[in-house]
Amino acid sequence: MKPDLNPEFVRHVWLDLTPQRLIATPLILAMVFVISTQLEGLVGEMPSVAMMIFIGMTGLWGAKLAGDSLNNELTQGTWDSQRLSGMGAWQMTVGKLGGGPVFAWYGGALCLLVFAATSDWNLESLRKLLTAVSAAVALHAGALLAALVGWRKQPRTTATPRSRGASILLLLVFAPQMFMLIGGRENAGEVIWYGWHIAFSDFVLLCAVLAMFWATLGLYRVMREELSFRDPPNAWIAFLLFLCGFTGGFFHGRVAGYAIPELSPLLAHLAFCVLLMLLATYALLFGERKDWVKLRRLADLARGGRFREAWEITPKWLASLALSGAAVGILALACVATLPPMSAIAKLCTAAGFFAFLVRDGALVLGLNFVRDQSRADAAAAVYLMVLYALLPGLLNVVGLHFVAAVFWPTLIHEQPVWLVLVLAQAAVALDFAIRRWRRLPA
Amino acid sequence: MIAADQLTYDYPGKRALDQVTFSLAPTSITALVGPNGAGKTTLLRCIAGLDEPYSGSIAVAGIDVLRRPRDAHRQIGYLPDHFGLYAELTVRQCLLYAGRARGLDSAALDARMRDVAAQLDIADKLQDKAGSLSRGQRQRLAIAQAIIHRPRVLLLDEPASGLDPESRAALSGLMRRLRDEGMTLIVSSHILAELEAYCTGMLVLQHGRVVEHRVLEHSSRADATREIRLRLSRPVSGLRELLTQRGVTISSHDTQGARFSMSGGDDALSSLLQSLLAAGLPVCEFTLEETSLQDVYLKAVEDHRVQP
Repeated sequence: MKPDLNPEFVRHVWLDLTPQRLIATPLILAMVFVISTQLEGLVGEMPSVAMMIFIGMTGLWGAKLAGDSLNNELTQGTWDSQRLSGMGAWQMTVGKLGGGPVFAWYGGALCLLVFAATSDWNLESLRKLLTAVSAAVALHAGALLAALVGWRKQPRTTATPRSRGASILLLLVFAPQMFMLIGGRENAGEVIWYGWHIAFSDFVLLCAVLAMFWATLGLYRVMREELSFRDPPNAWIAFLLFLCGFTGGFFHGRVAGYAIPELSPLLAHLAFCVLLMLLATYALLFGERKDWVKLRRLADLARGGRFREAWEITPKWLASLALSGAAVGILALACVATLPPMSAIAKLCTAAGFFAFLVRDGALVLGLNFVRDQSRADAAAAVYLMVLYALLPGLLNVVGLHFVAAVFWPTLIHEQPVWLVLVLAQAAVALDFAIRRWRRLPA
Repeated sequence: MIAADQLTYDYPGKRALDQVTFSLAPTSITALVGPNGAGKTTLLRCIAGLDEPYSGSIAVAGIDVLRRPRDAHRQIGYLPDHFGLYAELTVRQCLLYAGRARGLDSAALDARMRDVAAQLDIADKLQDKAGSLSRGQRQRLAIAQAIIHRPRVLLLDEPASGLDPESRAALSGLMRRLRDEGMTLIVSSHILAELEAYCTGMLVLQHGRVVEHRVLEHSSRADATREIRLRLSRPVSGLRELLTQRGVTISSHDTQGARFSMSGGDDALSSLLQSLLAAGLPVCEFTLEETSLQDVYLKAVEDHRVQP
């Protein structure tokens, strides 16, 4: 279907591109550009000004508009109607992605016209333009994705403030990078990736295109779930594996000890992958809804041998947990194969300790969520984890029990591998807690 | 047209639907009734494919809603209890958007938009913004959006709430017309008197279970069994024998009246009355005592009044 016939896009055009806006925007932008010509020494040359306005208006403000367009569906009570429409997930994704920030794109297109008209037209200008457009689409998709994920976290009636918060957080994180990377002043030099020397501006463009691809794919997959399709965590797993592969470029082709002292590029990369998986699992443990009715159904399906259906409803945190375990296993094997025995044991125990801490924390989060009213469970889990990771070790250190305090920090297992037993004991206690709470759930 | 099999839906700590099984015939209008919290809205949302049940299956027009949700959605129109409209769009834009989003092609869309606007009596409001409409007009616009793609199944959750008596009467007429056009409707409502005017069946939910599912009989049907009340202006001995000879089943009687049931259509009823008059009975009242939807509903709920 042509973009101009996408019903969702057309609806946004009706709503956002009013005649008043269509006339006023070019006039206001023209005034800004005229003023900027008088302040050239202060604000930079015209192409830079045009690009900065594009980043601000289309990239950042557009992301806000995109997020708001979804949040408004919720507050206006129109989302169920959209979910029942005949539009496919891809059509809906394109419609929201192009339609939500359509006004920001209108202003942005004018800025890009000015940029194109005033630049020395060469490969560098084209690269900058493509980077800016890709980054803007990635941000819009990210904002929409954050809004949808925010909704799924809690009952729909109260989801909006949190999903708005997710969009704002996204902007706060990415806004400075966008201005710095696309702005043009910090893009000299090169990046070494898998041993290749790549111009920094080329690498930024590659990252922006990849971010656009993954953010759009993520949005599409979550949209599918919203449109009642069962959606196994395949894309999420593919994304994590992609991250492992992509970040490998910063380790391989380097000398040993470049990234992490004493470790070969392979081991350093694997250690980083473990860290990545752990972080992803933690993020989803707190970011996803722990619907125990769905978990019970998953357990029933698995017990009944209906593994395909079970896989379709497997939560992403569980898939991430499994990947974390696999990453730890691969790292352990690599350590055993490439390091002297004592060093291998120390690193193996450290990796296992990280995983045991993840299991402990996951069990704690789940156990606290195994109640009728889950509204405060994640907040309570966060407080308990703060106690376990900061307050309790701090207190033990204050009273001179440094040795015992080490039990609550996974990195110290490297010095005392035997401490792993105590970490495993903590994980066992947490699992017992979660299992007891699970069994006490109403039938 | 709609078949639910062993449908179970759980909220954390509460079973909203418990092994719900039923099947609805095409072009029927089923009243979905039950006390608050009985699971009516959850059932409608499961049929619409908006919520996935814990177990069981649902088929709409032969399509497995859980496996092929988007195919099912094309066959379904749904008006939720708390619906939303795009307040900044005009009524015309709302309808065009609804039609396009549900796959109507541009050539037929304008005519269909005018058609449903006329059906719902909002044709004179096409250029007004949805946000400026009254409650009743908003309700009608929402129904128009739900039917613009000519769904085979229409699910309505409290469609008459907020409507004035005139609009409610018009809504009843619309339901019948939609059924005549071939739609199958499920209407959840607490206003049983209005449901009675157009429903052909009733599904009573209580504590998430189906406690009554019956096809409502129309009094004009030839094989219908009707309750009749007979009153005489003066006592007549032998009334019981007179009635029994005419093949009716007496439920109560005295010398000046009786209640009885008989099978047959309007012709049989007319013959019976003529026969009684011919026998010299001083008939001053001969009334059909139809069991109301409310009576059936209250009886079903009372019979199953158990702790959840």
